[in-house]
Amino acid sequence: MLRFENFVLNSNKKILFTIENLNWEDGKKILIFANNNSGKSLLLKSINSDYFSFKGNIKIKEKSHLFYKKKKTTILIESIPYLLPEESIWKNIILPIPKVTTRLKQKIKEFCIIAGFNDKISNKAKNVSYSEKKFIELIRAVIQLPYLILLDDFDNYFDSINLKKAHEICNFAVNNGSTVVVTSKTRLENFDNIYRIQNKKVVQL
Amino acid sequence: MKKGIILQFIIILIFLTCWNLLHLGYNFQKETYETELSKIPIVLFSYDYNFLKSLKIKTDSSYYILRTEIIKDTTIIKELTEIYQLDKAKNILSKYMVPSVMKIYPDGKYYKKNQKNELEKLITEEYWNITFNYSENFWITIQEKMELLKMIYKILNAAIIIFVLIIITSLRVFYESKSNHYWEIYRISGGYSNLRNKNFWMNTIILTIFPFILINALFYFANYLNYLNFEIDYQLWGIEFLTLFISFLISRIILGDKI
Repeated sequence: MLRFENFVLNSNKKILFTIENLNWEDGKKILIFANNNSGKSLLLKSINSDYFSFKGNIKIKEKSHLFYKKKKTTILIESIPYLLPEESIWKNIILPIPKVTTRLKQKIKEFCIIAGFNDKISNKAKNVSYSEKKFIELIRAVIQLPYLILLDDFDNYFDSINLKKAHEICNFAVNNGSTVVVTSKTRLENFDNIYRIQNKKVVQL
Repeated sequence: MKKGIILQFIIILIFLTCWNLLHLGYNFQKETYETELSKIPIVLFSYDYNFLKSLKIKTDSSYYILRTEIIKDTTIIKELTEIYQLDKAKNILSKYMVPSVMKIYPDGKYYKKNQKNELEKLITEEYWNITFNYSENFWITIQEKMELLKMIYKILNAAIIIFVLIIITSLRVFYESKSNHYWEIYRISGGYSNLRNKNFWMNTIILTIFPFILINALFYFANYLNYLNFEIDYQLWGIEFLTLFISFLISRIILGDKI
C-alpha cells in the first residue's frame, strides 16, 4: 500500500529524519510517535502531497504519491478542524460524498451514535466541542474509504474514552482495506505497527 | 452560490436586453433615414423618350435603385391642361416641345457615394442629352446624419463591451471568491478536487447560453407578432456572446489555482 524508498525529510535545509525502506500493508493501523518538532506532521503532509521538501520516493499502491494528488485517495486530518461552521453536522459529514445511499446514511448514523452526537446531528458545526469536531472529520474520512487516512496529533483531540470510540470508527475503514496512519506525542495502544522517531530515524517497536 | 448564479443571470439578461435595444434603436433610426432618402427622386428630363426608356432598362436592374417611372410628354401636357384648366391653350401647347420626365427613386439603404457617382456618370456620359435634377444638399445631410448615427452606435457598442467585460468579470470573481472557503473544506475533506472547475465551466455555459436563448426567443416572438421587422444580425449576437465568454475567461484566469 504505502512504501518509502530512501526517504529523507528536510525542514529549512536541515534533515529531520530518514526512512531507508519501509512498506505498510493495506488495512493496518500504524502509529508514529515522537516529541514536538520531530517532523511527524510534515511526514503526513508529504504523504498527502502538501509538503515537498524531502528526498526519496513515497509510493502509494506502487505509484508515486503525486499520481493521487488530483484523485485524492489520501485524507489528512490536521489539528485544526476544517468544517463549515454555519452548516449542520450532517452536512459537514456528507460534504465530499457525491451520492448518499441509504446504506451509507445508516453507517453515518451508527458512527454518530458511537461518537455520541446522534441527537444533535442537525446542530451547526460551530456549536460543537473540539473533540466532536474531530469526530465529524474522522467520520467524514472513514465513510469515504480512501487508501490512506492520516491523523495528525491523535492524542490531542481525544481523552481515553473518546480514543476507544475513535478506534472503533477507524476499524470500519481498516476492515475495508484503508490504512490509518496516526501520529502522536505518546505511545498509544491498539495499533498494528508502532514506530518511533528517534535519533533522526524511524524505528519500529 | 446558487443565489449568486441567479443574480448574475438576471444582470446578464438586463445587459443583453439593453444591448439589443441599442441595436434595434440604431436599426430603426437608420431605416428612417433610408426611407427619407428613398422618398426623394432624381428627376430627369429629355425630349427623346427612347433615351429615357433605355436608361430605365439599365437602372431597373441596379440594386441601389428602388423603382423608376417615366411620364411621357403627352401625359404631361394632358395633366397640365387638366390641372390648370388650360383647354383654350391646348393648341398653343401643341406647338411647343415638352420633355418627357423620368423619376428614379434610389434605395436609401444602398445609395451611397459610390452608387451616386456611378449613376451620375452613367447619365452624363451615356445619356448626354438628358438633364437631371437632384437635391444634392438633402442627400449630403442624410449621409452626414447616417454617418453620425453610425459613429455614435459604434462608440456605444465599444462602451458597452468594456462595461460588460468589467462588470461581469468582477461579479463572477466576487461570487466565486465568496465560495473559496467552502471549496477549500470540500477538497480537504476528500471531495473530488476537479469538481469546482467543472462547476465553473458548467455555470459559464448556463450564464452564456441561456440568456441568449431567452433573448432569441423574445426576438423571434416579437418578429412573429410583427412588433419588430428587423432581420437578425447574427454577427452582433456573435460579438455579444464572445464578450460574455471573454469576461468569464478573464475571471477564470484571475481566479487561477483557487479553482
